[in-house]
Amino acid sequence: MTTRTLPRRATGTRTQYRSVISGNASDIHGVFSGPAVSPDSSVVTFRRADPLREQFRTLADWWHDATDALSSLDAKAEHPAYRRIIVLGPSVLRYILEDLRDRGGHWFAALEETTGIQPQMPAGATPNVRSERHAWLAWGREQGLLD
Amino acid sequence: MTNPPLNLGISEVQARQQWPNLRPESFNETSPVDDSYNCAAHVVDDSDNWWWPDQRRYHYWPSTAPRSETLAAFEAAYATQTYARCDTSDLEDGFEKIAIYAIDGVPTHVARQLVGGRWTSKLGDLKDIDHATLDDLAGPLYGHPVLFMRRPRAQENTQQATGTR
Repeated sequence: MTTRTLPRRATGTRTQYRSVISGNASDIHGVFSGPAVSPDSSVVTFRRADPLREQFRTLADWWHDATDALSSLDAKAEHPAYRRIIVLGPSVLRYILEDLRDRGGHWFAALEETTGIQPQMPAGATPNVRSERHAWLAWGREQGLLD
Repeated sequence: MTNPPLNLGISEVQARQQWPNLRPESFNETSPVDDSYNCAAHVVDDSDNWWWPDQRRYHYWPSTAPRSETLAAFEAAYATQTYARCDTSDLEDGFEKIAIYAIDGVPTHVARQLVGGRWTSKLGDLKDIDHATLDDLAGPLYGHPVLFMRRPRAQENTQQATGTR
């Protein structure tokens, strides 16, 4: 998470926050989760949301909303939001795994396409959605991508 | 006047677009959201597997049925569960029926008839519901029910008045 320190005058609505920040404004398309004011400080610290995370979240929300009621994995995996997430590549692996952990869903094809691997299933596990999810989350923790 | 929410686990806008006939008073939630199984598994009481003939072969599908998203493949899959094709979705004493929805011949959803004539459906990754009619879930997402199958109802099921699984 990147932070940016601004003079205290930078208070107001989100729109005003955007207008106050100068410099590399082109990379600001996320939402601000600040401001946070330290008690003894004369500055307001803004925490800028990670643009890639926001982009992932927007696409993932679209995908969940449009396909969660479907059964066809092929239809889920061919949805434009899903394809666009895969195009984002390994940089969003962490977010895919977090979404799998927190919201579930059939991320397995995206994970396989992005990593080129199939995770090791637990010994004796029946191959199904639960064991597949368990294997991917275990892999994510091993890779340091998940807490 | 605003419509009461459907609360099906996706946005209200999306839910109303996907199931334009569904009204809050016509269905009951019968499970929480669970992406471990789907409609095609739910109709045969399997809550451990996701049944679908996906080409990526992630999901369970009976080995004797074609792995293709066709009505013939679904008919073959449910034949392994002793279902046989029938003409209508009408309630018939002693029989349990399923209805397969499709769009342009491509299966999209399966529902199972309950003892009293209502239907039970698992909505993809989302919730199980029981609903009054098959038309409740007709619309742009699932299309319409086009294939009906039946099998003799198991004795324990006939003793349940409103069971859903």
